[in-house]
Amino acid sequence: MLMEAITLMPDGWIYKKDKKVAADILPLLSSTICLKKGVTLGSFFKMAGQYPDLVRLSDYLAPLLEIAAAAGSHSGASEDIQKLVFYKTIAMKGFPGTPRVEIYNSLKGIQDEKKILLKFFQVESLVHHELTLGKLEHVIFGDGQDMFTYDTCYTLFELVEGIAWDLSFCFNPIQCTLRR
Amino acid sequence: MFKKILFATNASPACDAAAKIAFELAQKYDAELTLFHVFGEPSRGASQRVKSYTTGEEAELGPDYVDWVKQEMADTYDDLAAKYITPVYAAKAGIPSTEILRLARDMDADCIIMGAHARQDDTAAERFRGIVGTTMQKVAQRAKCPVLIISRPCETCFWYFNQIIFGTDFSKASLAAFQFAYKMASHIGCKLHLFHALDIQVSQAGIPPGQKSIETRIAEARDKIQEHYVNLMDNFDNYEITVWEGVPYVELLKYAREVSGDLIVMAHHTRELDPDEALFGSTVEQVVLRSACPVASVNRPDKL
Repeated sequence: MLMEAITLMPDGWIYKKDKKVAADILPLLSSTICLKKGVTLGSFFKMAGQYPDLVRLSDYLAPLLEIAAAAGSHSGASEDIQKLVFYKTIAMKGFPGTPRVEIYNSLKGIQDEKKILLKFFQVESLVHHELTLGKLEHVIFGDGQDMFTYDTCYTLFELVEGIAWDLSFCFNPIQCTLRR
Repeated sequence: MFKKILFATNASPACDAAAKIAFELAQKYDAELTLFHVFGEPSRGASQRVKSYTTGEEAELGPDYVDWVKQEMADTYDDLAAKYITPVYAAKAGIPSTEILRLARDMDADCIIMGAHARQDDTAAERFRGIVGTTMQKVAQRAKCPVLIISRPCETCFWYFNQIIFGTDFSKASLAAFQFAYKMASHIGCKLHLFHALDIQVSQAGIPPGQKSIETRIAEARDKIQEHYVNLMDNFDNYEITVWEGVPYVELLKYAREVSGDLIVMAHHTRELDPDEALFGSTVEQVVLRSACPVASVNRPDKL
């Protein structure tokens, strides 16, 4: 267990040193977060519901929370992915534009060890999938051709804000998903 | 509805979704379709050299090079041209937004179609690039005709629209957007949604408004929609007025999801407008990034 680490449980509560964090979550935003086995995207939304201050981190979290709540236990899990992975990328870009480094967090689906973009999925179809933390990917001058992976850790802030950002691309009408 | 369509492309896979819609629209409206690619930055000296926007490589700029680029475009869009219509291919070196606007003006285009991005990227990486300052934004702000921006393949939109959403902030530019949305809806005979989002964040200077105040403002906004837009519609009654409170781009995306919107029409404000009066400038960019359907940006009534 890492120092200052907190753990997200499947029921959406956060634990610090084996004690449930019941109230003020803001001091823990920079803490390293671990995910207990059995945590799903639904657990993430339960967490956001139980700690309302987290919802203020992104304009998109409140509507996503509504969608997840409406989905409940009745929504079917997408069979196009097996689980979800949250991971960090450091990308060095040489062209176009001036050389730069970009560091960002992503949420993707995993199917047969391949990463899948989630923007064509309905949020409802993802809530039952296991949520995992992946390794850091370091992309050097190219689109994944030269890439190294490293173990790393994630803060609560990164997890909440990063997932909200990626799921903000999932406001798809149901008929679009069905036809696709 | 459309007679001359200009499809601005970099002929990369990032523009495939926009290309399909450009060809489909051109065939649907029996319009002339021009595919235009601004391929590189010309040198400033006497030597005619060009630096590719895609690869960064330099090459000698001459008629042969331009012909080669056009041939590359023709090869790229061979399948679509065979399935739909034969387009006109045009290519030039220069600043993309300037050249696209220049050609649109010269050919008297009544619609510009473009992809939202020049590259395919992770959704997570898009936050670094954003849209501000890109070709799409400059074209959308300055074009005299509607600009249709497509960010992802559309499965349900086109061949015909069923649900057109017009998002308004009651600005002057929004009136032009309304005229386009209304013209489309009445031409096709589909439903027109007149939508406004009350931006509570910017309206109360840090003081959260009470429920009564919100309800009053929603009622006022509905009256305003009636007065500004519904009164301009002749006998068209296939419309719905909706006013929600919240962050405009979030509410617009939520609404588009709820009604299965297949075209969002909104104004992309010009610089002359007071930013406080023009909520939709940044809203267009946020919506374009995330919308499952095409977004039409309309700023001026010139070409409606």
